[in-house]
Amino acid sequence: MGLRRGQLRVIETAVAGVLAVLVLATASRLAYPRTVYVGYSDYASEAAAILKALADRNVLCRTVYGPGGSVAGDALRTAVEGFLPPGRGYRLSVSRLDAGRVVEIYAFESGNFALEKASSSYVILSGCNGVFEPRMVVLSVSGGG
Amino acid sequence: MRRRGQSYVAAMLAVFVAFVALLATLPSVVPLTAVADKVDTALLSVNETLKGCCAHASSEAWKVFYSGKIGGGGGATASAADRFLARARACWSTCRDLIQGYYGLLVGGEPSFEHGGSTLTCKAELSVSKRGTVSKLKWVKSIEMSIVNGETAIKGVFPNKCLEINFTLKGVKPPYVLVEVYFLDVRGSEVYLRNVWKGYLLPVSAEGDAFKYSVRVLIELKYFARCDANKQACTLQYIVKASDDTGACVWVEGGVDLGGG
Repeated sequence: MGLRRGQLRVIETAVAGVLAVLVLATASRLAYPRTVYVGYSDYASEAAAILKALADRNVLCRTVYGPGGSVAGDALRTAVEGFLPPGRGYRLSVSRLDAGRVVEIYAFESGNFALEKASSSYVILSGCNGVFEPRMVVLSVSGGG
Repeated sequence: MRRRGQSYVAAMLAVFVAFVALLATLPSVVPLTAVADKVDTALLSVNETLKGCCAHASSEAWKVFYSGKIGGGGGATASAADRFLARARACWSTCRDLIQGYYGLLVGGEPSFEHGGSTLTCKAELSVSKRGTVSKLKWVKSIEMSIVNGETAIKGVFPNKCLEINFTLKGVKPPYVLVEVYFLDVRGSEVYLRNVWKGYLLPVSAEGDAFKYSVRVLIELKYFARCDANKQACTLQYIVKASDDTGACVWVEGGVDLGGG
C-alpha cells in the first residue's frame, strides 16, 4: 500500500531539513577552517600542559625553590611565557602550604589577563635541592583582556 | 487500531526524544573531562612531590653520614639509610595528605625508599582514584655511583701531586651533576671532612647507561707532612658526593696510598 500525500510531505520536509543542516555544516567548515573555539576547560588544559612541560624539564622545581629558597619569579615567568600561545593572558602564583594554611608568596598577572575568562590548573611540590616545604603553583590562563 | 500517519509521528517523536537525550547527556561529559584534567595534574603533583621527597631525604641522609664521619663513630652509612627512610616516609605522608585534600581524590599504594650511600632507589606504584576513575602511576628514581678501580690514583710530582678520581654514575642525566670531593682530615682524636672541590662536571665518556666522570684535586702538603710524622696514617681517605638537578645525592668512599710513612 503506497504512502499518503500528507505522510510523504512530512518525510520530505524532514529529509530536506537534515540535508540543509548538513550543507550548512559542511559549508561553514570549508569557509572557516581555522576557527577554533576555546572554552574554559581548554584554558585549564593549556595551563596543565605548561606546568607539565616545566616539571618534565625540572624548571618548576628549580624556579619555585630558587636561590635561598625564594621563588625565582622572573625565571618562572619567562619559562611560562615560552610555552604560552600568543595572545593569552595569565596569572601565576606560588603559595606555601603550611599546616592547613595557604600563604601566597609570589604572584604575577599579565596585563591582558581577564579573570572572568580564565581557567586554572595547579601542581603541588614538596621541595627541591634538599629543601622540604610543600608549595602550590597555580597557573590561570585566559583569552586576551 | 492506529493509522500509518500516527506511526510516522510516533517515529519522528522518538527521533526527537533521542536527540534531546543525546543533548542532555553532553553536560555529563564535561565534568568527566574536568575529572580527567584534575587527575592528570594530581599525577603530576604525585610525581613532583615524590621527586622532592627523594631529594630531601637523601640530603638529610648526607647530613647524618657527614656527622657520623666527623664524630668518628662507625655505622654512619647505616644511620644515614635509617634517616633517609624516615624522612622520605614523613615527607611523602605529608604530601599525600595535601594531594588528597586539594584534588579531592584518593592515593593508594606506598612508595619504597632505599639509600645505601652509593645507591639510591625511590620507587612507587600508586593509584589515584576519583569518582570511580582510577589512574595508575609508576615512578622510579635510581642512582648508582662507583669508583672506577685502577683508574683512581695519585698523579703528578711532589709537591704538585693531585688525586685523580674516576667514577661512574647511573641514573643522572648530564649536564646537571654537582660533584663535591671531601678529604678526611684526622688530627689526633679529631676528625674533619674538608671540602676540597665542588663544581659541575661533564661526563668524559658513556658506558652503556652509565656516564663516566673524572675529577682532579690537588693534595695539600699538610696531608703528606702528617703522614711522615705519624709513620702510619699514609692513606688519604676521600669521599665523592654527586647530586642531580633535584638535589638527590649519593656518595662513595675511597682511599689512596700517599706513599709516605
